[in-house]
Amino acid sequence: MPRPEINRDRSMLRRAFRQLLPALAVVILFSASEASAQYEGRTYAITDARLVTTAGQIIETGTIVLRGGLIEALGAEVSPPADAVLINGEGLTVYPGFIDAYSQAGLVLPDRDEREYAGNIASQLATEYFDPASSDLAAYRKQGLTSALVTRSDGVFGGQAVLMNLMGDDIPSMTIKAPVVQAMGYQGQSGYPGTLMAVVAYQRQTLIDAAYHELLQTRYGQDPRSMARPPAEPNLEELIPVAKGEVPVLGIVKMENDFKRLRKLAEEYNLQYWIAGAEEAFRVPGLIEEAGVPVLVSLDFPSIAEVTGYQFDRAYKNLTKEEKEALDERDEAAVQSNAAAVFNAGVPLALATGGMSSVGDFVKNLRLAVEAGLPAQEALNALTVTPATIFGVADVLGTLEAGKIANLTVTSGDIFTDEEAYVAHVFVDGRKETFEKPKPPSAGGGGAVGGSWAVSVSVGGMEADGTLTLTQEGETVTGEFAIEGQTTAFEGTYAEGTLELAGSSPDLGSITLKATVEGDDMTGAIELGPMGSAELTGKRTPGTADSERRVER
Amino acid sequence: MSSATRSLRSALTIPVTVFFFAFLWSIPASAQDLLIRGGTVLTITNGDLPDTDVLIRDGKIAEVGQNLSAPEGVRVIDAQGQFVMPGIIDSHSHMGVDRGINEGSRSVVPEVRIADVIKHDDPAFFTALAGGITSIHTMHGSANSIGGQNESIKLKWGRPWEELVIEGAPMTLKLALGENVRRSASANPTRYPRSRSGVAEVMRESFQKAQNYLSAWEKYETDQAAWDRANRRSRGLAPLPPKRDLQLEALADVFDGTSILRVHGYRADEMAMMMEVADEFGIPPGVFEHALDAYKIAPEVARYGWATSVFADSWGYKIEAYEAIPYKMLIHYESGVRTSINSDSAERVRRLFQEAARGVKYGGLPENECLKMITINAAMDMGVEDRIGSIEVGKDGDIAIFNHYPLHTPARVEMTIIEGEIFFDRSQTDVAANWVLDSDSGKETP
Repeated sequence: MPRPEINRDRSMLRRAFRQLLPALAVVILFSASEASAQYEGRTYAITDARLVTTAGQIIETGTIVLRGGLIEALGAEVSPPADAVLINGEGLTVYPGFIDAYSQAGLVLPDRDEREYAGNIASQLATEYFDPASSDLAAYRKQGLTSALVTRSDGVFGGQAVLMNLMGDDIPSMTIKAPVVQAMGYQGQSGYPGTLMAVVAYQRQTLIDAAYHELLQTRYGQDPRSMARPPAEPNLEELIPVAKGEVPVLGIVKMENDFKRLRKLAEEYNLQYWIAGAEEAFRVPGLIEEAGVPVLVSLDFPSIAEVTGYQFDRAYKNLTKEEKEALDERDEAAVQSNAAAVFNAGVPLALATGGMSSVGDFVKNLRLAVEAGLPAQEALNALTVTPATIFGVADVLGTLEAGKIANLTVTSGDIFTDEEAYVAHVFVDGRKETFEKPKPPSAGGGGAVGGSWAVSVSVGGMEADGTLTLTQEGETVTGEFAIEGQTTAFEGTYAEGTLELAGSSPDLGSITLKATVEGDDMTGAIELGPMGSAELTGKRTPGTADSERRVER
Repeated sequence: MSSATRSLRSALTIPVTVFFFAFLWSIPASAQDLLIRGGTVLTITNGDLPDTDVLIRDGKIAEVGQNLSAPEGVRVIDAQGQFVMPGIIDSHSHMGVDRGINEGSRSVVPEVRIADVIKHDDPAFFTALAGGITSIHTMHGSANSIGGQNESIKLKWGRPWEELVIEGAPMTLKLALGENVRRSASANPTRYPRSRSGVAEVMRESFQKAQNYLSAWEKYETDQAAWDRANRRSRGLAPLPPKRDLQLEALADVFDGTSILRVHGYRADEMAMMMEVADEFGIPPGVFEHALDAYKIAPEVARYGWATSVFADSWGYKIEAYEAIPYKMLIHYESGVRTSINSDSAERVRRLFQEAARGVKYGGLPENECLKMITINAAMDMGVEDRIGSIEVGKDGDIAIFNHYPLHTPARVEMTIIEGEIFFDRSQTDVAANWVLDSDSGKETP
């Protein structure tokens, strides 16, 4: 009988603490100079879980053991080892850790004006801008993403993409593979090339320059006394195998014509390429099929008004309201079916966050993509074994197999089809992170801010107490604010910890409220028309929040 | 052959033959076939022909004459009482360019190509079609001494990018003189040149570099040929080729006329300078864009063989533009300077035919000369006069149909046809729709 996790956890902790105390001191002393080793923390066993070892291969009830950052064993007959922390996996599904195949996770770039010129920075690794302590990474993990191909997207030859695990102590230990592929984008720079047309011209000339650089080096090697030594050009040197078509370049494209620009360049210079971003792949399925190259599709769904052809389909067409709505619906569906279109083109498909304005939409958009025609099994492949294969790490990542990296995405329910399903845990290099079940929206309370709040407002030395009653559905919040015998209706939004409300009172005119919410505490400010800005603090009245029972698994 | 085999063969042949002919009969007329019947045809190059039909097959003008019969399945447009002219051409435009028309970071960027950044769904194309425009020459802006390579395209709005490009149109290269170039430099402290004389110097220096580049390649080819002939044992390493430089290649293309110079210029002295510089380097004459003061040196412009592409009567909007006059079209015409009238604008492009009518108003240019300035003369600026710009057998089926004579005040375009396909049809269009499109942002504003 496995004991409940919590007890085991405590005794382990005590024992570990005693043993580790001296070691801890050493780590603190030497951590600055020590390149940290792979995490070798706890051993975990998830028991009685549904194990999806790869798409279509399922162990309905089994145990998976993680030790030393690796998957040690898995199967229906596997028993948890004595030293393992047990996790009751009943009702949970364990997938190979999801891979974000094209990502800006953890990248911290200087402002555009201060940024180093990114025309050709081919020799830089994206890790130069990667912050392992970035709080950003938690948002990715919450979407079940355990590793990511991280790259700058703002360069022309924007440096080397690297495959990183998304939880860990430092860059060396989080790196799975570096470099993976050279990123090539279409963003103008603050100097030359500033416009799209100059970016394309610059791509051409740089490829020529790289090939010529190799010629000079070869000649110099053959007879160094016959010519002045060629200048050291690490960025050009890095591009030589790209220019020779020996290794692919990662073309970051979005609009229909970007795909054509990339294809044309590849034809002219005999390049190999992969495609990343690819938001408008659905407009060029023939091109994708013909190219036959891996496509790392972002789950960014651009607004339909941005999509190529929007104007053409609508302007001056004598459309009725119904016809226009039908067109809008068609285009929404087309945008969401983008990943399916790439899959149907028969090329290797991987899914990604790159280009998304909010990573928090990843799982939601994943389901929409499945609903729009991407088979759920293919969606799983596109998050696991396909990117692992494209990046050349399928021997260590992408499936649940003994000896592979202990990256797992553990969900409650079928994450691909079930709207209620959520990511319950991720394991990255064998480290566990657990997420609470998102609170479902419900009337009278619900969500993160629903309920009744005792609020105190302070303005110009005066204080007043009131009650804020809020109802949350999704990101939409409605409610009432009762203070000093007056009640004002509010409407607004709650997202990522920030509550923003607006209302209007007969006395004060328009009132806006902006507050940060953490658990049952709220702090912020309220703009009271002519009275100016007031500080606001609030506490949720116990029992008024949505009372979704916390289930400890 | 046994009789069994023979009968088998005939049994097979009959249905195959029947099928074959059935197939022929059912061939639908191409989407690029059209018969425009009974209009007054303004051929531009061969007079005005009343009551004349124009037959377009596979996108090309197949026949021009009276009482032509429509081949099976070919759509017939009744143009009786209407005026049929070649599609109007805007020789100087910046429409349909994605993400920037001025690479202003440097003053010399001939390597950039508009062809790389055509925005095929630019909503401004539609309003241009409603003004009878079928082709435009869309260009790099005038912020640079030497801008980029321009592109000649057809306004096949909504078709994929590659279908818009006029295949085989010669390259053209944008240069600019005067205020815009100087002003762009003052916005960017490290950029040279900042004066009008500096612009002249940059032109000379750039052409000289391009000449040196050609010489370097010639020398390399000579050396390589000598090396090929030399004794294999004693000849050493092969000569090192020069590095390909796309900027210098684009510049070098102007020497033999592979690329046509399109030079933004307002002031007469600067245009005179440009003609001198081109002459020094043996560069064939090009086209002056806007050429506001060219009327002052019209005989010289004619003697050097340059052409002009102008606004009909737009001036006074900046210092350089104060001395322009609307009689310039007449003066150019009488001096033998070829002139086209351009819009340079996603708005004015809709009414280029009215711009052309100003040639009649100011000085009484012959009507057909005015029409030439928005058709065949513009085609000559772009080097595509063998394909577009007049109604002649063998040319592209690009047509604008007007309800009145195009230079007449109430004239408006009823239909615009590109290569036999209808791209604008007033009867099918809600032109009054409350739909304003900002061509730059692509946003819809009600």
